[in-house]
Amino acid sequence: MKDRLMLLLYIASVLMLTSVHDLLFLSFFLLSLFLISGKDLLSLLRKSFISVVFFNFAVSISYIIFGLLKGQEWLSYVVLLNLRVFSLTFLTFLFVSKINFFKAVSFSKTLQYLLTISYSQITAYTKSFEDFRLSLKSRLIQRPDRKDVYTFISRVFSYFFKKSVENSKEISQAMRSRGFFID
Amino acid sequence: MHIPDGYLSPATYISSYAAAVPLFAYGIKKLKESLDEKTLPLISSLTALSFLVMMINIPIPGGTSGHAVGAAAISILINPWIGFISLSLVLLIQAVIFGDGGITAWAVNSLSMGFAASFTAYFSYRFLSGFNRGFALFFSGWISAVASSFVVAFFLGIQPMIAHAPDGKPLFFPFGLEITIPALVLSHMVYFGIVEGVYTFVVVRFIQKTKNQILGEINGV
Repeated sequence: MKDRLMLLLYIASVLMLTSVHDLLFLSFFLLSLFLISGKDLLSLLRKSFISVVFFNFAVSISYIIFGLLKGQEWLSYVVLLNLRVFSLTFLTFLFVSKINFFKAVSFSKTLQYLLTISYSQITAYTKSFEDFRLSLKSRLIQRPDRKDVYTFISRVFSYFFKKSVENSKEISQAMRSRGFFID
Repeated sequence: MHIPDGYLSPATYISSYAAAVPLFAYGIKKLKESLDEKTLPLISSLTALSFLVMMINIPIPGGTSGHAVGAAAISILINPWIGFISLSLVLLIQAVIFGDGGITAWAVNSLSMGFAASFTAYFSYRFLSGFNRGFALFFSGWISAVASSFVVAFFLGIQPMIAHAPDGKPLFFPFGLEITIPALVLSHMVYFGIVEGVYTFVVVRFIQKTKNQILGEINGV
């Protein structure tokens, strides 16, 4: 229940952050998010910064160049954009750090199931893929040519494609044995 | 290309959610009719596969590389609804857990990288595979990336028109369609589309050549 309430609060905050265009309000909102984050502040700041820096930098620099070329004032927009994007990203990371996202979407059994199983498989697949990548790297003394990379990609995709279908059968059987399909 | 939070106005993201969520629900319902109990496990496994595809760097002629999205390959190998739903779930997990792409932009990202990419690839392949299967695979991947970029360019490019301050200053994404369409669509035509085309060609041809039982198992489910 707590997670679902937090989800509603998060959605309301997102709506507010995208509907209010006042710099002072956005600054106070961001400051209050910093206070709520407590000891996680630095790690959340770092994650948020890494997450937005590339896109925001590209858009801000392009807008500044356009502004300078056309002789328009650009500062207020650049501050508004960066403040809003950063606040929204920080808010999302804060929300995910404070609640169990998978519990928060429990209003839909199907969505909760899909997200939980997908995420657990993403973790497993990522580990296996990293093993594949390192094993290829450890067997090479120079960069592989394009053809070899294509062969590697085909084999990796084929492996995970087969694994996906086989896993889905096993999961389906496991779910059946636990009564998931009985309404 | 994932749009982060803060670049789309509420009018845009609320209406895009109104379009994407029913499509998502309809896709799951449609798949459940044909796949039954195997639907949800298959979707979640292919979601993990889609996530993985985005981690793989594909070298292309000319010495550069980039990552594919993989919607075209899954759509051609299985069906476009699975492509759309798997990609949408990946985008949701990336937005909420990894901070890649925004939660407000999820619906637009899902409509572009999931829906537009999957269905353009699927129908292009169906139309062209009778002439030349290799070309059809490459073209399907290429067009999926280009179509996806067009949708993103459209949603970003309309922001200055629908959300601006009384003095005309933008409140969200600042550049109009005259900039977003050439910038995004052209870059996808000459670069990202080629990455997707090469990827689709390489992996789908390999799966089809090996004629493994997997495809038969899925199609026969």
